[in-house]
Amino acid sequence: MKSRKKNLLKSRSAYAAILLFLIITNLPIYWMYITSFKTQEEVYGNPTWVPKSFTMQNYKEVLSAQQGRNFTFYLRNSLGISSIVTAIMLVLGTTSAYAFSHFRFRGSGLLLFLIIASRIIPPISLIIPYFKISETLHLRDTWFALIWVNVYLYLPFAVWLLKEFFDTVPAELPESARVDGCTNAQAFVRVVLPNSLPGIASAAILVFLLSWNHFLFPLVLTSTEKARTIPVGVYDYVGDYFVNWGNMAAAGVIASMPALIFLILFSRWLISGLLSGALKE
Amino acid sequence: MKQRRNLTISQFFDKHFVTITIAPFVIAIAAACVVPLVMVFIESLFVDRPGEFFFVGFKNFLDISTDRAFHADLLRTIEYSGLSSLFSFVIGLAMAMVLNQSIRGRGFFRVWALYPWAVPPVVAGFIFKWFFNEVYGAGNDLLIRIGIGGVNWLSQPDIAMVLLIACDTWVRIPFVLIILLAGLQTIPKVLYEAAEIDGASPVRLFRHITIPYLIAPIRVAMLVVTMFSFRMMDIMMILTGGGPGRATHLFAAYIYKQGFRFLHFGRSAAASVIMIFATLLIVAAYNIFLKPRVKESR
Repeated sequence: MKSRKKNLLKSRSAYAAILLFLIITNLPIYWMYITSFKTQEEVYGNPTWVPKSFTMQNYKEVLSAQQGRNFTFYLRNSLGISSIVTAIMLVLGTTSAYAFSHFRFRGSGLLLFLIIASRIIPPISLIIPYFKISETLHLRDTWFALIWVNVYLYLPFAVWLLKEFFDTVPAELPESARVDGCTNAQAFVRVVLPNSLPGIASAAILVFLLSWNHFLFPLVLTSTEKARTIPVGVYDYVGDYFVNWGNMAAAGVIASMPALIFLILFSRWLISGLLSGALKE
Repeated sequence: MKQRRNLTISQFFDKHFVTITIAPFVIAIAAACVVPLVMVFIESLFVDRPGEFFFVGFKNFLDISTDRAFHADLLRTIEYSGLSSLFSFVIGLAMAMVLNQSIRGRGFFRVWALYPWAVPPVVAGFIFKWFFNEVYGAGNDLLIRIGIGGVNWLSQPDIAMVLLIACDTWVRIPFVLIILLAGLQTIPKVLYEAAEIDGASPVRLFRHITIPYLIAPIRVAMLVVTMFSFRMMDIMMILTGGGPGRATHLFAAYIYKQGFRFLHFGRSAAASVIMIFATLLIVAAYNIFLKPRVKESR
């Protein structure tokens, strides 16, 4: 009886702590969201926690080309680049991760080490080579350059993640398929892939989110709107003499759309990807 | 010999399955990672400015080592990533322990706790910049109500640094929280029950059961956090721009500006090489000081 009362008290204070934590951490995000729906007058007035007005004006202004910023372009670039990167990961990443996971071959240890090592290299350390290469090959302001950079940034990461998932697929599965007359490729496609869909989904979601959120290389490798992505578009507002906070908030909301969508729809996969990517070393 | 000729394509594919699946990966990594890495090391030994390109040996490194701005940036970056790691660890661990209790709605809490991690870092910087805006910001409004608001936060060197570290911590807590929560869930409940029957205090439970079990996840999570905040530029660029003056200017921004403001590519590459070695030091430090303790029960 006494311990039950204690437990109730304990769980109540736990709820209180969690709620407080969530409110504090999510409040600034909430502030961005409501700002994006406010009118100019309300944005530049006393701060209001519950918007008195509701308007899509900020989004209209952001999505129509203004001051050399074309967010419809940025949106297209971000979507296109992140999707292609994710597709490349799915093809290259799954096949090579499967080979790493289920086959022993010469140099596999060294290659696995390279995968980990490439996660240690800070991307900022490679901006000069990447800039020079893309300058020489006339690849600045192209999707190709940004997709290529993303291969360095996220292919090893995806292979690492996927290997973890393939390791959990018992070796008997593809082996018995082989006995039944399947080739290696058939065994992979027919038996292994269907058994690791959640893992593949996690990897795809993480790679899409991370390449969408990435800022540094699009900043360095683009100078026009041709290949510029959304995070760079958001950053661009800071340089304005008069910062239009309403517009910037709308741009920020657009930039965090994948975050919101994935959290609401695919959070289980997002979290399982995060965990298997990090927990084993 | 003849038999090999007669291999069909699919048989050939099957025989060399591993080679065919690994080769594209190796080529991709070589082209996207190894080549630029080798290039940055070579570049660091050259003076490379518009119209100039010649070998100088280690002069770029010497120049950087005597550059007081670099010293200041490096120290500031150590402070920034150190404090951000510390705070995100303490808060992340505390919240993970709270969430680890058997409460309903844990999944829901876990998802929304992750939100600050999932937004682009640039947007995280914007969110802080706008929330603490000295006139129109809601956070500023709250601070006024408790009597310390209305200050132009980002124009004061110390406070700008505090805000920058706060923003970085805010971004990193969710990651630490999620990973430590998963680590906590692997600890057998029986251990706590047995120790409680023996009359162990909560502090002792924490020190002798929780921490030893958590060493591995702590090491991985905090290594990632320290490494990533050490190389962080996105948040700084939008939140403070390195200012006021140079008060919040970080290492990564030094590399960026040597290259793209001053067009001193060789020096930027040299700083990049230093950044790579500094990161290796961080990795080594974590592996030395947070070794998984394989301790037998006493």
